[in-house]
Amino acid sequence: MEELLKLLKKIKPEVNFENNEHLIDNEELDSFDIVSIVSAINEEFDIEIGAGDIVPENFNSVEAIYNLIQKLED
Amino acid sequence: MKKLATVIRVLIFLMIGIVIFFLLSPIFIPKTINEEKGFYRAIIQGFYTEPKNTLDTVFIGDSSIYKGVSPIKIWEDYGIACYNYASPTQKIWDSYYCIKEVLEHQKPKVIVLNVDQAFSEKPMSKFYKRHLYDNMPTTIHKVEAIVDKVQKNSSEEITTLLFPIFRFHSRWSELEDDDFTNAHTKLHYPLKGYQIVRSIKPYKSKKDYMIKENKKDILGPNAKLYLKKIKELCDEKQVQLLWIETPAPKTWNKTKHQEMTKLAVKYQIPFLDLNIYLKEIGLDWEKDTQDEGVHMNIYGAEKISNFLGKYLKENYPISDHRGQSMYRQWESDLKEYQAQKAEFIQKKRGIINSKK
Amino acid sequence: MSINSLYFVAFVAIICILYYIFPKKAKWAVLLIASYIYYFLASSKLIVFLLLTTLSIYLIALALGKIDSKAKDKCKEIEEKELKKKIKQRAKTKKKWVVFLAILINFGFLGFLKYFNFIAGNLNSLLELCHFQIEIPFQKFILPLGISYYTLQAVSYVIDVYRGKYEPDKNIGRVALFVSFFPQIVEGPIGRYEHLAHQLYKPHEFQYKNLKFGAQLMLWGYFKKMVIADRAGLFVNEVFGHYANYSGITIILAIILYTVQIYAEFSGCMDIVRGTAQMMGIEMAENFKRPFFSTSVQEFWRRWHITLGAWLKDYIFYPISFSKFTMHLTNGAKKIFGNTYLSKLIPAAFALFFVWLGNGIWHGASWKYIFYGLYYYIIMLIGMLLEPLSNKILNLLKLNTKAFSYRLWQIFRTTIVVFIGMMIFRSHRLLDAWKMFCSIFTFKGIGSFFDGSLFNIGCIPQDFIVLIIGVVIMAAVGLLQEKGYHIRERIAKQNLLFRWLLYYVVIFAIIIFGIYGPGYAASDFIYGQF
Repeated sequence: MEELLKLLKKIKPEVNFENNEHLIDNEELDSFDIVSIVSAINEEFDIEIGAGDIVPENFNSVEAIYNLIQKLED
Repeated sequence: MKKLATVIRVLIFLMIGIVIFFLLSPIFIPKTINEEKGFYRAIIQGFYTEPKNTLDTVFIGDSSIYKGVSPIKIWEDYGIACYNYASPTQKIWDSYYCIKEVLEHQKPKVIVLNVDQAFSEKPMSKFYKRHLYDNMPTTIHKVEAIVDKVQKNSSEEITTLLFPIFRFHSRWSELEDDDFTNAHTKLHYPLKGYQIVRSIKPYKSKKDYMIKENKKDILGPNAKLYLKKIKELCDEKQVQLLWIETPAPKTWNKTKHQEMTKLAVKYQIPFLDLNIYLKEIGLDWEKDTQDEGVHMNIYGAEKISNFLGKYLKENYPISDHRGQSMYRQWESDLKEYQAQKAEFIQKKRGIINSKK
Repeated sequence: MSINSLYFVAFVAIICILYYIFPKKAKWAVLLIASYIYYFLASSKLIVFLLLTTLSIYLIALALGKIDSKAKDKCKEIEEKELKKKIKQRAKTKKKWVVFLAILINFGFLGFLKYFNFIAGNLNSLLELCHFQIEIPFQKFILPLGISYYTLQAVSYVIDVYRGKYEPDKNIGRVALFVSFFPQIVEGPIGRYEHLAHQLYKPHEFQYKNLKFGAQLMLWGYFKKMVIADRAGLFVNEVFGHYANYSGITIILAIILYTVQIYAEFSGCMDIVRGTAQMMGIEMAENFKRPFFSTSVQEFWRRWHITLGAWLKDYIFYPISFSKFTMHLTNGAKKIFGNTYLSKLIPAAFALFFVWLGNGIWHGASWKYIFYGLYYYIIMLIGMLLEPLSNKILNLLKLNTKAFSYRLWQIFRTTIVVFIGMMIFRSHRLLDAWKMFCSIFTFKGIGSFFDGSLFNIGCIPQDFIVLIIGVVIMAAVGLLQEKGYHIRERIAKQNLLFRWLLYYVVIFAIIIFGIYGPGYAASDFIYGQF
């Protein structure tokens, strides 16, 4: 989780990720950010987030992203 | 309970909407009444300003009627109250619905039907349909006439004939005072459905058109059907029916005369073909026709009216209304007619044989 | 039965009544039968294509499900991890082929019917260039109604099943209804299965509020379409049709009015569609979110034809962004440029190219549409390239980017870009667009503004008055919505008298000021011939 947050902050320093549950709905992250985030996560955690996993529910908060990683690591 | 209230509310909303719709709609119908663009609106609407059950006779037909018969002349000579409920190129089924409409407002002794329009099975063009039905108030008869299959109306034409606002709404930018004042009040027409025709163009042929035969001139199935319907309607309403044919050398002939006579005998309807009474009428083809024998002008129309008035007086129990208090309006209408005629005859001098 | 005809209104009214009369279990069937009747009336035997699409995605989705469940069953029996992986991998490959088949069939219909002549034409010119004496004959295809829209919907369903987003639907009726639902079939919005299918299938109880709000939305849509869009069209059609006769201010006005027209028309149609659905308790996706308040082109496309943009994002942008090729590209870029802005930009630019190409081609089979898509691509690319630079400049100048005036400037800038895009979109050919664009700078015809002849092109000055009033109302509504007002909720709080008055005014404004029926100058036409 900490690791993830660090990664996110590195990619998008101007966004406040903590306690934010509407990252997509409020358009704080756009599709380019998603692409960079997903590529970085795929590389860092050695998983494969595919196009099908990219729905707002999976990216609206840090927890959601974390849960997605957990799910894919299984 | 709440559901019922909702339903009632929606219904009230719709009803008010419909009322507004029918209040707005007539504003958009073109109102032009003048020599160039026709008196069609004045002819139809004027009928409704005649007090209920005051007319003795109503003439039904196409331009042969509104150019060939001058009711106010009949009034002048015999004191008979007549009106022309006529429209251009009207077909026999239109005549049927017109009679229905007329009998709703008047109880005439005689309905006089011009018959030449029975020799066509084609419906009116949509422009002429507009000229009749746009000026008729929305009644059940009008609806029947519009949806009748014989009219061959497309669903779009039916919609716009029933609801003229859908056809004329884009007139919003050219509305004039007339459009509002004449939207819901009908204008009195002193000429009683007659249109004064000013020009003269003689019929030159010396041949007798009443010996001409044309095998094509037979009555079609629709014509027969609606002639029958008209007879039944008049029987039911206990109104006398009289068929006439105004003098028309260009369109009338022996075949048509025989065809109608046959049917008249069958139905026991009197048929007065004016084409065989030209001498009695005193018609002068040099002077009395507008367009080489298709329509009458005012000289012809007055002669025909006098003849018809005499015929009506002699054959039907119609009393002379002149001087009766109910008919005071007719006296001033007559004055208006005479004034218009006089103005016309003055203007007319020296333009005999003018174009159109 | 076009959407702005009395027949459509009557059709909706009848279906709505039937929908609420029929028992719960049959409600969805009412919608399905209505949709097929609607489709048949519009396209008659071309309904075959709709049926084939429905059947193909239904069966293929089931097949995908079967492959998955078979693989799972096998995995349960086996302990070995390596073998499990192998089975999974094999299933995945199989699924890939099957979903590929579905895409091929459906885009095959669309491509063949819509793009055959375009491709043939281009091949012919190519063949001619190479001095071949062969010519591919053009075909006269009539496009099945809404094929561009329902194909996207259908394909999204199969791909989602392939991706494991949801289980395949065993109920063919639900799939058929999802693809064919009559209000949406002509112009969208392009719905998603997970959002729409169950809503359509589920019986909705009668609710007065739904009926009322739905009818209001429809009314607003008709106002926009018939009073504003079609009226603007009078001027636009004349100028774009004979652009060589006009220049300068007239062209500018035509471009602006075309933008007004297409927005009022498209968003108006969406309101009619969404209103129709809402009357039966169905909520459809929004397609427009006041796009003319956008501060950037990217934002504009997130608020204009939203469902198309979302489709392209989910089914073109992301798959390409995460494809192996793009990954290689990213790594390659990093090696050359290091971890810089530019190295991030390259893969995005790559994926975006296909998005905009897709956007262009989808709009129509002609080079002008392709150019239209690429125009936005280039604008966006330039914007992205210059972003670091412009940020620096802004910092240097210490401009307050949060200020209203700056926002206004951004909106203005975006709108200009959109205007030019619309000009390309509307013009007959690409060359015409270019000629029109050049003729703007002749500054001719300014006098026509002052002597009023400008307002007699294709319409009459009174039309401009109606148009201006209409646009002001539309802008005011947009502004209020932008501020977060729920207009229909607000209206509901007003007194009955005011509410009803408002409804009547709108209804009769549409009847009187709407552009419809035969001939514009009605009375000239009808009484002119005597």
